[in-house]
Amino acid sequence: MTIEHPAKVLFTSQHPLTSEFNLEFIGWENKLLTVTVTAPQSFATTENSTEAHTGFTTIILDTVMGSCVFGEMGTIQPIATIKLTTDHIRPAIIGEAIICTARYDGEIEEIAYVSAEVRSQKDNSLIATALGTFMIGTRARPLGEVVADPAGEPV
Amino acid sequence: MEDTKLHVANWLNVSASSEPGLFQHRFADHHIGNPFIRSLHGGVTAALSEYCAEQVVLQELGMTVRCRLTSNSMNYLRVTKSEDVFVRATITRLSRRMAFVDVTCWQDDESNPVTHGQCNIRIIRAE
Repeated sequence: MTIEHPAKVLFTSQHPLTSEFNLEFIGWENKLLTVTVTAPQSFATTENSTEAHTGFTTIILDTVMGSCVFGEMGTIQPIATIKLTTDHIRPAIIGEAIICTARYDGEIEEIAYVSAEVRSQKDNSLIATALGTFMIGTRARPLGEVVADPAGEPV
Repeated sequence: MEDTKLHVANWLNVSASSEPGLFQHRFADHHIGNPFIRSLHGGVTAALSEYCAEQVVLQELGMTVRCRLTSNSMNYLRVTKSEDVFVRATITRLSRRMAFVDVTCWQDDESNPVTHGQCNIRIIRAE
């Protein structure tokens, strides 16, 4: 039986945020998660702008880095972002397909360290880089347990 | 996609208050990161901080300049709830080409912030 990467499950679920962006899982190999997505009109800097606000790239970076942690754990277990540092080299363009690659750098004492970058799918130009720190195992329950007992409260 | 979400301020549901540097976010379901404890997505609070940091610079300098956010460093201090967020953006240093902005987000009480971050912004002035 093939076990799907948790990110693939997350991106195809009815998750309120990821379902807005149509994130596409590309691959998971050697602690490296690759995802593509297109910058949506809803993130235009202003109504008439062709540039996506940096917030779009930031949300994608946080999402893909968190999914990278899920991949390493092998489950969608609750995690929490503790620190997020992003450097924005240039804005994504509305309608531009981008590739986000996140690398699981390691963990110690329930803290996971991930680095990531966003590039243009067309010309591979660098759009943004990021470092994320995540707490593994928050008080919330793992996704599977909550689905099995939807009335249960997080502990 | 709804027509009302044509640009980032609408997607984030954020608006400036009458007090300079203070902004209010209105919660929406698409801001949720963990659907089971209904906490906000960490990227959303970061995006909110980036937007408000730019806006406070524009409030200070006027709309004739352009802002390009170069970096953002956020610390997540508390678990968020599926509720509105208040944002206070404070310019700590404003030079001819750069602005350094501290951004604090809270939900119930300003003295118990949920995030704190620093945004660096390149200012591009009209020739």
